[in-house]
Amino acid sequence: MNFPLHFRTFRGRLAFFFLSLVAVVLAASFLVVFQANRRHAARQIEDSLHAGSRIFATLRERRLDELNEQARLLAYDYGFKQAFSSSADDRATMRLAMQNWRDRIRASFMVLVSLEKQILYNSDQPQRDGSTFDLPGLITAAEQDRSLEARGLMLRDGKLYAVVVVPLLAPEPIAWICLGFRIDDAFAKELGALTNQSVSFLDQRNGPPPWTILASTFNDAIRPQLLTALERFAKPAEVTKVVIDEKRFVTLLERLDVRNGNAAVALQRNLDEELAPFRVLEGVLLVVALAGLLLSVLAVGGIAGSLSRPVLRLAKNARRVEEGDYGTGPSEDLGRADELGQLARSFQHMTAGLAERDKVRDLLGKVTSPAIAAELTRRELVLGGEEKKVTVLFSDLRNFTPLSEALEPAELLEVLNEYLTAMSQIVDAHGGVVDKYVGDALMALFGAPLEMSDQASQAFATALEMRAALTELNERVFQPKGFTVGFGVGIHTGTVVAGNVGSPERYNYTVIGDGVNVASRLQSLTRNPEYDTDIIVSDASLRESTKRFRTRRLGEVPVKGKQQPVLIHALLGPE
Amino acid sequence: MSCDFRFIQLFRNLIVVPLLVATASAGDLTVAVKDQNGKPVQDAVVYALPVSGKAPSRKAGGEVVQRNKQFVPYVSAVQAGSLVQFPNKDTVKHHVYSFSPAKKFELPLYAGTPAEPVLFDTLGLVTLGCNIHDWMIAYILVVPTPWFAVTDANGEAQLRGLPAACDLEVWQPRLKNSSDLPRQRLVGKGNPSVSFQLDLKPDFRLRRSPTGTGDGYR
Repeated sequence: MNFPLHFRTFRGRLAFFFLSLVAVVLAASFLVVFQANRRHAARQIEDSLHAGSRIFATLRERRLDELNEQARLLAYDYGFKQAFSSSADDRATMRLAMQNWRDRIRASFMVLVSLEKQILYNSDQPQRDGSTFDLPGLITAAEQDRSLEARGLMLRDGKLYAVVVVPLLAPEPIAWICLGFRIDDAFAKELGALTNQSVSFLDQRNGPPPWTILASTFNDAIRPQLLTALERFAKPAEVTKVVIDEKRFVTLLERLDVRNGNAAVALQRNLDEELAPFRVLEGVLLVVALAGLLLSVLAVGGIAGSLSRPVLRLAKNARRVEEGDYGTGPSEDLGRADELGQLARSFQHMTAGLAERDKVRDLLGKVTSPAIAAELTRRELVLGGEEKKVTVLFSDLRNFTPLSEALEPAELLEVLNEYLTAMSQIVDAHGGVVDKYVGDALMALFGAPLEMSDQASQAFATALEMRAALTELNERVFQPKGFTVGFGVGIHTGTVVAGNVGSPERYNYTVIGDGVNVASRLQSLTRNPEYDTDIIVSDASLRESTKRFRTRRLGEVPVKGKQQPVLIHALLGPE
Repeated sequence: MSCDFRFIQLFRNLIVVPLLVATASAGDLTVAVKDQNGKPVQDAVVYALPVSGKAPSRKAGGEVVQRNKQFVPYVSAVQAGSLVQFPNKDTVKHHVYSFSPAKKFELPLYAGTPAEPVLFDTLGLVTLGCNIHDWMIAYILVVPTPWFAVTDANGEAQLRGLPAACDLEVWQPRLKNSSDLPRQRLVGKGNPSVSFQLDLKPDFRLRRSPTGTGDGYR
């Protein structure tokens, strides 16, 4: 994956990836809920404002119905008609009758209007008696109505009224009864309480501002602010937000159907109050989201840790294996059943395999020679060989038979091993390879399997050093046991076949050829007292040697299998 | 409602007119009254005012019956000075009243025929109502002449024994302009029939109480 961020650890990347995922999902869901909430709240507020408007209309109609019914009762009231018919002589009685009726109905005003639309009696303002009625449109509407009634909202003296007009019947209309119910602060408060809204009635005069407040649920101190806000922002029949007294109000401004002017009702809901439950919900949601995120952090940390810890352990174990430690550490089982457990088990098996192979290689180095083992493991293992010029060294102990009879087998093996170990180390030190041990005899190769440019001189040096080592061994090991051993060494350089010899299941790396036989023959010649030497080398080896050694010519000897006699020398020491 | 009336002497009993003043008789007349759509108009009062001189006074009793919680007739006319009876033919009581300037009176809750008839001595329209039954309404037009009649369902009224020259006037409850009544002058003979066309308002009479019997209207 191509991350824009670079993490040093798999754990960090995993944690980042999952936490980002969780955070994105949480943020998205929170945003969705938040927006849905706001939309829902806005819709709810709008709906409730429209509902408030409907309630106002219903309330107004009901009040008008009530007024109408009461006015209709009055229209047939015989006493009232009698008072009216005799009012020419007694206006005071008529006025009292009217005030009585006005109070019964709980109307704000009552006006008796002649059929010619002159005010006959104005309940509260006698001074208007005789003047032309100021709401002639309402009378005209009543005249045209089938039941001779009219109703509506009217502005009168800067106040808003719900007004009804009915005829005074005797039984034909003899006058108009006009009743007004004031839409005042009390009415606004009643409506506000019913709808849980702020309600204000506005006189819009000519239409555009300035307006005046006719009635409101807001107190006088706030009304100037209310008026300014409404004048500036509120649009008819549209839901808008206005700020009044540092509170946000969702406002619905609706035109009122007023017969003789322009008026409107402003229905408002406090947005902050409306949103409060949604805010609580959002708060809860936020806490839940944060808790979820925190849990995710812990969970992801745990999961990432449980993934990366064993991986780190495996990596550490792999490093140990790389360093050659196949101990208990690398082969630990993680105790898991999952993929990592499988990996650990595979790693375990692999480690065991590696350990086995290393052991085999080690063993190979011990039973053969490290150089041969290396050669064997390096090359493809096939039977067959190649011709090579090799210097072969043969050594054999003298006087070993009495020793083997005198010593316990274990003791014998111990001293033999000590002897062979010392000899082998010397061979190794000179780049030679111990090809095999045969009892107390040892066969070493120089020039195979690895090419060697100074194979003869190295073989000579080996033989000389072996002689010195034997002297030391005699002094330290054999003489204390009452014996002195000697040895004989034969060295010859010749062409041999080097390679793997045996069956496909089991074979050795060795050399075969005359050269080997000659070396063996020369070794056995050291027994001959005439030669008086324990190291005999062939002339071929001597010629091959790149260094000079002190030798003594011993003469030619016939060798079995060879037509030409072999010229031999006794190796005395370095020059 | 105010109406403009003229004072003329006339006879109530049209049949005896030719016998008494045969020379003054102008004859009989059928008056047809139609509305603005040409439909016959019932309940229109047609009366004749002599062009010269007073109409003879032929005071006679009138009667407005209350039957089936209705006034019958709906529209009637009397010559000024007439007495009118209001017999109640229903089993329930009625409270007949009028607040009309031409005659204010009331007959509080009564059954049968009141002992005293009501005198209509002022010219003008008297609108009758019942304080118990709001839908009950009737009109009595007090006219200054004995020559009057009310149109029937065909919109026709017969006037008999009219003087040679007279003015005919018509009134109807639904008349749009009742302050200036339609009028026609009749001169000499040869006018066996006269017709009026009236501009009427829609009939907005009150719906009768649902507990009452009848057709639910009127």
